[in-house]
Amino acid sequence: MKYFLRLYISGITIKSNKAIKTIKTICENELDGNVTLEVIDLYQQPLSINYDIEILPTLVRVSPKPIKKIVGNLSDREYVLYNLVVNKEA
Amino acid sequence: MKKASKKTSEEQIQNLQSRISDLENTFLAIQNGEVDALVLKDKKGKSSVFSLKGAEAPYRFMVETMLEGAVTISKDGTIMYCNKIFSEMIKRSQKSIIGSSIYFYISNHDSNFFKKIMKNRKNKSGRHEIILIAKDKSKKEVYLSYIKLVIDNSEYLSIVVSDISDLKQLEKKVYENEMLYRELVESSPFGIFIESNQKIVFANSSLKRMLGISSELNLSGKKIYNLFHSKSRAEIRDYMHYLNDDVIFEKQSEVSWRKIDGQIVDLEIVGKGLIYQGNNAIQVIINDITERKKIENKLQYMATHDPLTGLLNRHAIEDMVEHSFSVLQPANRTAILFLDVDSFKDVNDTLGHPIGDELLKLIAARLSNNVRKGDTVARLGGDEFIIIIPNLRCENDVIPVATKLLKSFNEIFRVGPYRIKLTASIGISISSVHRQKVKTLLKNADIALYQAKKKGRNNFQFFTRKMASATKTRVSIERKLCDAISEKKLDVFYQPQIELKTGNIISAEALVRWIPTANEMIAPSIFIPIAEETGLIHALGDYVLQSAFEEFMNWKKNYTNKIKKISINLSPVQLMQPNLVRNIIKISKKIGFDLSFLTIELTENALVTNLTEAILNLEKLQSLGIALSIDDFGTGYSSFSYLKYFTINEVKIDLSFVKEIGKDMKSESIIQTIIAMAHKLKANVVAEGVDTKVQFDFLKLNGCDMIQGYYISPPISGDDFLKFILSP
Repeated sequence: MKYFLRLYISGITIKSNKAIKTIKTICENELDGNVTLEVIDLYQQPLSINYDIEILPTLVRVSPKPIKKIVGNLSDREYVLYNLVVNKEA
Repeated sequence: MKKASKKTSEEQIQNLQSRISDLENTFLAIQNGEVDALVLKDKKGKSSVFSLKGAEAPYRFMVETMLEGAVTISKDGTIMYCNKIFSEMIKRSQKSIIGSSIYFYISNHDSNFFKKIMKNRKNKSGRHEIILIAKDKSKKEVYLSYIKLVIDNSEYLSIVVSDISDLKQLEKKVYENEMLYRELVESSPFGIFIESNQKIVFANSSLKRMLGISSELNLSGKKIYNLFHSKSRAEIRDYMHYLNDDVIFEKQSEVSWRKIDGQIVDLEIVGKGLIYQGNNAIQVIINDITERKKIENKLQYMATHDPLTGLLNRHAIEDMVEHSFSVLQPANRTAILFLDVDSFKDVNDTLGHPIGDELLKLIAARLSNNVRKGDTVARLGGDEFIIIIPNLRCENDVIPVATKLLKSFNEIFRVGPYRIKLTASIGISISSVHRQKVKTLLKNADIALYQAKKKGRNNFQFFTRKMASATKTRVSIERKLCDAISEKKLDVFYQPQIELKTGNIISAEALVRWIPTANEMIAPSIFIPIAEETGLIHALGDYVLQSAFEEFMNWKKNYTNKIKKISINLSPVQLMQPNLVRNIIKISKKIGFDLSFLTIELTENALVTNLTEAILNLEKLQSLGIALSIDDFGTGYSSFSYLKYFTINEVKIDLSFVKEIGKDMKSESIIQTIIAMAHKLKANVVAEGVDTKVQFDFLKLNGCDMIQGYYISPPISGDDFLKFILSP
């Protein structure tokens, strides 16, 4: 299964840094590298919001569908993985 | 339509739920400090990013712009803040709300809930449904997600309020739909159940009623086959496996199962796979068709059985034989015996149909008792029976069966006071390796039966190819003859008879001639027997009578008085007809013919078959002044019986004797004896077939009264006859 993820951040902060590291680990270890991760810094690209983002950082699973927003402690590997994986929703 | 709108409601519910869950997650993230910045949209939809450094303004902005209601209350329930959406929900201004107590807008029951969470230190966040009371007292169902926030050491409750009145309406609708369907299913006359994992998960009350199970019993979790009698359980288990096997297609079957009380019911079952509460399941609809089956079986029985004898009927025979073909080895043959009771018609005519019907029942029983197991007796109609004998190794195997059947008639039948002796004739056809059509076999057996009848009855005959071609000719003549009679294409010719004493033509014999085409003439010896067998003889006889009467009157009235008599031949079949005399009178009256001019010629065998009816008819004819003449005298067996029973007016010496005049002394002596005897009985003597002067002279010398033959004239048309009679 191909994953396409977008991480919306506001500059390089401790939180966003940790989030990127955690998500990258998940991508490589848990999702077998079948992932495209796009990190979008809204300070640099303020017009790039395509989703209803209220807070930053927010991770968006663009595909597989349905589109899903993940907020909270994005450095918590278990938490992110739990929310990313699709089949539990079925 | 219904299905589509239902799906939409489900989608709506899902959307709302995910929206709420997103919000909750956002709030949780804020509460846990997992936020770097907020993204806010202004009224034009333009987004801006605000970094969060404990500032209240951006947070407020966010809750202001969001689509759900938001409210923050202090521990005692005072509303510290509310957004616009919330104020709209309770139809009050934001200003009037802030500072007032939340308890003012909710019921007492819901107030207790708030008090409880405020007290409980461990309760940090949660969800709940309450009802908001608006200014106009209208009520709104809402869904709360709340989080406790600690600001400056004081606890606050931050609440997101979602309007779920639409959702509730939808839920109500879904519930109502559900109830409607449930009601429909419950009130259905069909038994309906749903099975999942080999267990009943739903069953309606009709099912219990249908299967004779107490309505109190809860069927959930039970196995369907346990609701039936133990004798049927294995079959039902197999059937349910079959339904489970491939659930995509609807399957329909008819089964006979025993109810728990042992009684057999006929059920029509429709089974189909479905998803029930998230699991694979089978929906089964059962219709009790026991009554319908009973009627169907009755109709089936009526359609295939003869109501009088209970034997199979004509329609069933074909299936029966086809079936024997399908189950037998090609080397094994099937025989069809066509049995007809000899002269059965006489029983109906003399004893009446009720006795005839009783007799048919006895015959049916006797036939059934005299065939082997596996043979079939059927009634074709009337006194015709068919016996189907399958599984013959060779043709000869059928002989003992046919013999036994014929012998079974030896015993006298007793119906009421009557003792009836009968015989039967049988025609047999046997299927070839190629297996002809059943109709052909029946036809062939019929042809063989005809031969058996012809051979003197009370015997059986096998069908042969030769019979078939003879029958074919016969059938073709029969068809042509029928047309010829109705189209009046038959000719009546007249052969003059002269009185030897005077040399005058005083009478004529009417003779029917059939000349279908210019080059073809079919002899009476061929078509008369066919007419007799088929009953066409009656129409033919009437036609001859009418033609002859008309011609005779024409001669007599308009031209000559010399002619005194006309002779017409009557077939034995006609003589047995009860309304013969009435018919002759009718025709004579129509034409104005005086019956005392008529001589009726009978052949000797006319009296052989049905003496009683014939004697009655002959006596009546004589009483009308009609003269009786014996044709072909001296050739039959019973020549003298006639002379004993009747006053015979005329004797016709057979032409076989006349031909021998001048050649054979014995024939001449016989002629002399016949003439002497006839004169003693005061009967006229006519000699037929007189062709020569030698014959003429002999007959004249020996006192014969009249002659007819080619020496005088061949048979000629009515017009020619008149010319002949008028010529000097």
